[in-house]
Amino acid sequence: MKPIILACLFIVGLAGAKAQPIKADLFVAYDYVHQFDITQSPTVDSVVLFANVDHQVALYRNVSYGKESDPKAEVEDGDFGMVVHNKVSMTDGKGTPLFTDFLHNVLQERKITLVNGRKEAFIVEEKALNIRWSLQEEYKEIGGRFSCQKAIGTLRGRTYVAWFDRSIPVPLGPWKLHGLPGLLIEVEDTQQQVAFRLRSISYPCKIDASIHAPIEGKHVSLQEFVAIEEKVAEGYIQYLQSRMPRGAVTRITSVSKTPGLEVNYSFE
Amino acid sequence: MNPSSIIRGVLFVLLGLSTLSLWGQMQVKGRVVDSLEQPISFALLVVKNPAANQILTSTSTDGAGDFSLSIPAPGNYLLEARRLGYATIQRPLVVSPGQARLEIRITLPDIAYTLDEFVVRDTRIKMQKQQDTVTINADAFADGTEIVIEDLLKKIPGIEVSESGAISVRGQSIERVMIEGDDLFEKGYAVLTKNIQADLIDKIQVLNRFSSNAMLKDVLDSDQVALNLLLKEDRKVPLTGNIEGGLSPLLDRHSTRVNLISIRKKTKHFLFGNVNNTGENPTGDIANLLYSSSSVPGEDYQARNLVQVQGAQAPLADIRANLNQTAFGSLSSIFRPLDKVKIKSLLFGKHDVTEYANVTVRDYLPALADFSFTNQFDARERNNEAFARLSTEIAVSETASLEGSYKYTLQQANSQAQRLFNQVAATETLANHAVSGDLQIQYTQKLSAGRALEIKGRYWTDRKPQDYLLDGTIYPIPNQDSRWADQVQQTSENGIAFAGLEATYYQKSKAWHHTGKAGFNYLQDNLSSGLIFQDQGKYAPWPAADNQEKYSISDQFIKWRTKYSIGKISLLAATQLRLVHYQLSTREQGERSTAFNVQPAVELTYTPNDRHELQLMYAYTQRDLGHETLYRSWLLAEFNRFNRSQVRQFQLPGHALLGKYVFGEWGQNFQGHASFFYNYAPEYIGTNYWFTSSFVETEFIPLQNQHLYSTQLTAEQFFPFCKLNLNISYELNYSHFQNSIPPEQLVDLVNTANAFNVEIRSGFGGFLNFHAGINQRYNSLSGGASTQTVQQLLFLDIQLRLTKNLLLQWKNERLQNRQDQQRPVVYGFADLDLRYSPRNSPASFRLIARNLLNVREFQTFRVADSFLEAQSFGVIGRYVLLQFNMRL
Repeated sequence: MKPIILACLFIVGLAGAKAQPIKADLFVAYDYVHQFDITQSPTVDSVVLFANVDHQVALYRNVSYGKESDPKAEVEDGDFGMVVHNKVSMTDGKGTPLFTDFLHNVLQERKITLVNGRKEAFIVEEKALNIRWSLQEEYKEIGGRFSCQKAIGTLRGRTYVAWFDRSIPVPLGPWKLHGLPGLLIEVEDTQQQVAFRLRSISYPCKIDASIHAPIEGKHVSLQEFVAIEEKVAEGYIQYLQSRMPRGAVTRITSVSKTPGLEVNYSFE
Repeated sequence: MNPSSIIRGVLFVLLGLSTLSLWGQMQVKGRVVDSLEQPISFALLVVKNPAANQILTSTSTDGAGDFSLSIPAPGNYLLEARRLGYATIQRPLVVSPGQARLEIRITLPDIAYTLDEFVVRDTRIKMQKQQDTVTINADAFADGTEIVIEDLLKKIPGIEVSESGAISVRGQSIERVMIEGDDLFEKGYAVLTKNIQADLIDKIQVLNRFSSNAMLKDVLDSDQVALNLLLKEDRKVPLTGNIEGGLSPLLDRHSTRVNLISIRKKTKHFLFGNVNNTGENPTGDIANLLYSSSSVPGEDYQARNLVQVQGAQAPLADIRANLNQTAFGSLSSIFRPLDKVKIKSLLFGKHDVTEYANVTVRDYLPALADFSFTNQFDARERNNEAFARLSTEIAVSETASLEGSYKYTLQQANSQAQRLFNQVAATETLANHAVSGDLQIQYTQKLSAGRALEIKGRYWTDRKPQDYLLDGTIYPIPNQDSRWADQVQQTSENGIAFAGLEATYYQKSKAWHHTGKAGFNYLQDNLSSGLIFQDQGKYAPWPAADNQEKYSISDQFIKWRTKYSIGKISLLAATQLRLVHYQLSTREQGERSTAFNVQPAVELTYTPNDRHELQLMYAYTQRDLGHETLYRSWLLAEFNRFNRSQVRQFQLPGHALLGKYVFGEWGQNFQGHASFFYNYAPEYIGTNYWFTSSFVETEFIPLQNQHLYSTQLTAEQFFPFCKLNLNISYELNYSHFQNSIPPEQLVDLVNTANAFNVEIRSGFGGFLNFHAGINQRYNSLSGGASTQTVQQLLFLDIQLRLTKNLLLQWKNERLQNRQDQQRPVVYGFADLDLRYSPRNSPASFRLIARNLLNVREFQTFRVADSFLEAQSFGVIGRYVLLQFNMRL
């Protein structure tokens, strides 16, 4: 039953996207600072959020990874593209956009993973998330422009301290961090491994960008994708073990302890 | 209080709570529309406490403009509606007690709302640029369960520690683990990380783009990683380490190993000791400390032992073939008298006794000589070696460093052998004394970002005197066939003195990488030897075997190397200009020669993507000839072989061409590699053989046109469905050259070596894993007639993880050696290794059973440039060792 529902969703999403391309009316760029790998200095990626407020859709993407299918955001702001990735980046040149449709309560993210030694693209679907933000009576000004209020929320293993500006009345933020009564300007997790900081904003959006669900990739649910990644990690351990030289005694129990934005999932 | 009043009280509280809960469930529902009554989606609604301007709850409208809010308690509130492109509306929201639902309609008037493009000019993020040193607080990852350093490292994201103790950072093996910036162990760091207590560590520093010379850090193309451990202020390590002891039940085999470490603020010591008769060579454990990883002037030069007593070890692993009794001890220390001064010392002593038991049957190639000999040889070699090195590093300034070191080695080895040569008995004794001293100075100046200058100087002497005696009548005195030598005695010495000074300039930018070097080297190589035959008690010196030679090479050079990388292409061009003076003086004459060389090299690498890499390289070389191929008088090189040289030149030219293609990146199921190497020597050193029935005279002669081809192919495929990895490789080496037999007859020889290897290894994880393979080598020499040897190795290794703490390894090998179509000799080896390592215990245990099938002798067949040889060797028989390891 589940695949059928997903397939229907996909068709609806695709048809919708093809029937009337939704133009972005809000553009927000953030610096995405992360240090999941503690042995390296923090990495700063440039990420962008395109949104259409009337249609209640948002498209979030990282513009630092290689070449994206929509490079317009890079062209717009000269400050982008400052990051050098030391790791093999899990992209295929077509980007890893995250599409959120608040109206239909759907979230679709394109993800790349190594399956049997080949990069494979997936479109991971889940319901739009509802973070229970706890608003704090703390205020600060950011960048000489934004009067922000503090809020604290928890999402998939991380607790985020967020600063939002009520004077920009959209419940949006970078990645999956939505639902505050104002635009999210700055957010940092309490482990200090992740932070997003607003770098630029414009409304109406001067970039002629359309917002649509990711297209290329196999549609799977989040649960299915997590199972795939677990299998991939297990396969990688087997791969490493089978390529050891003669006489090498090994017991590789985990490939990497490096977590991502989402540390754990609770599939109830 | 009476019961009824209690009941009343409880009822009152319950009623009150239910009223409150009713208020808690009160919903405010509504719709937000524009002035044309069209619904507005994504409008934000906020309920505020008007007094404190505090947000109580918020929501946003759906596609139909509808919203729903829960109000926590009755009261007077402010409802605010906001939406991009519309004016903000605030209106009072009065929620009375008892009111369960409230329907609200809000109209938002349009306004021209724009957010002008705004860019935050905040520099905070830019300052967090890539740092080469990342410092990690140990406390952030320690949870009290760690015992030694590696337990702590295992918990840090990005750092992996293998079972053997090898550490990798982001998948890359690290170069070293330093402690407070001092390096006691180099690559042998597992001694440190497996023994020092974790709670002493304050911080762990990951040093990316590591260079052992700090001044060259941003200048060399380094992707190396190292770790530096900082200790807690109050915690030092007075003495720690581990002891490993093993003994066989019959008490005939033993192995003991001791590692002791002491770390204090200003001094650090590492003591290592090993006593064994299980074939292990303990020098290997500190090999990284002995040899410098960076290049030093004159590193190719060393004195040579001119005569060998022919004992040989079977071509098997040391633990099977090395019949030894070894005692070894080393002490490595670091002392910091001042912040900017570091003094390092390394001392070691080694005593070992090695036994050899060989039987050799040598057949010379019919095209060269129609004769063979049988040689039975039992020898015992006693070797004593002492080594001392003292070095000082001074940080002259932030950008300059000075380093000086002196190294002294003393070695004394005595061999005694019993020989049965063609059924004639003889004894041999050889005394080797070697002494060397090595003074090195290095100054490094960082000039600016990406530019540095390095100056290196070295003075190095190495002497290897030898006394050889053969007692037995096994061959006649050369050129005097009627007189047989009862005794042959040779005293010889080869000694070198080298002085060199060179300056290297490094410059690195994004696409370019230049290295320029200029310098002067001087080598003095002295060789002396004298040979005396004894015939019926009379001593007869052989004048033809009297060498008193001095050979010198004086070399002025400029080298330049430029690497240019752009996109997918990297081009490397190098040139070497050399002005070299050679001088060879014998008793009778002196020869001089001067050469000016231009030696170009070029390398092109094309990497279209991560999956493909293509590399082409060409180099032209002019190689200096060493004294060992130039001496003019006869010299006894082994008991029945006399060598001398007819070579009258000092250089050999050569052309080398290399092509390489690599397919696949790490992580892919299929990876392949193909390479081709061609070497052409227009001139080379060949051999002229003079055979008699009992000894051989060989003369080095210059010959022309030697060709060598080599091809390697490897392919590796991982099959995910069955979790097996298949590795197939093939190697072909072909060389065409000539040898000479008198009178001046050149024999064309072709040597072909093929090797074929197939291996399959499982990655099941869990309980059972195996690794199996076959390796087959063919080696043939043809010159007129042809002869071939075949070696085959079949192996099956099984690894059983019986419990979390108990690991069993079972290794099986079947070796088959064959010469031409003769019946092969077949050997089987089986070893068991059971390890019990209880978690959180300082002790671990091991039961080792080696050579279960008790093979005592191993025979091989070998094709050399002029003969085919069947040689048998004694090997270590079956034994069991019970071993324990205790962390102190």
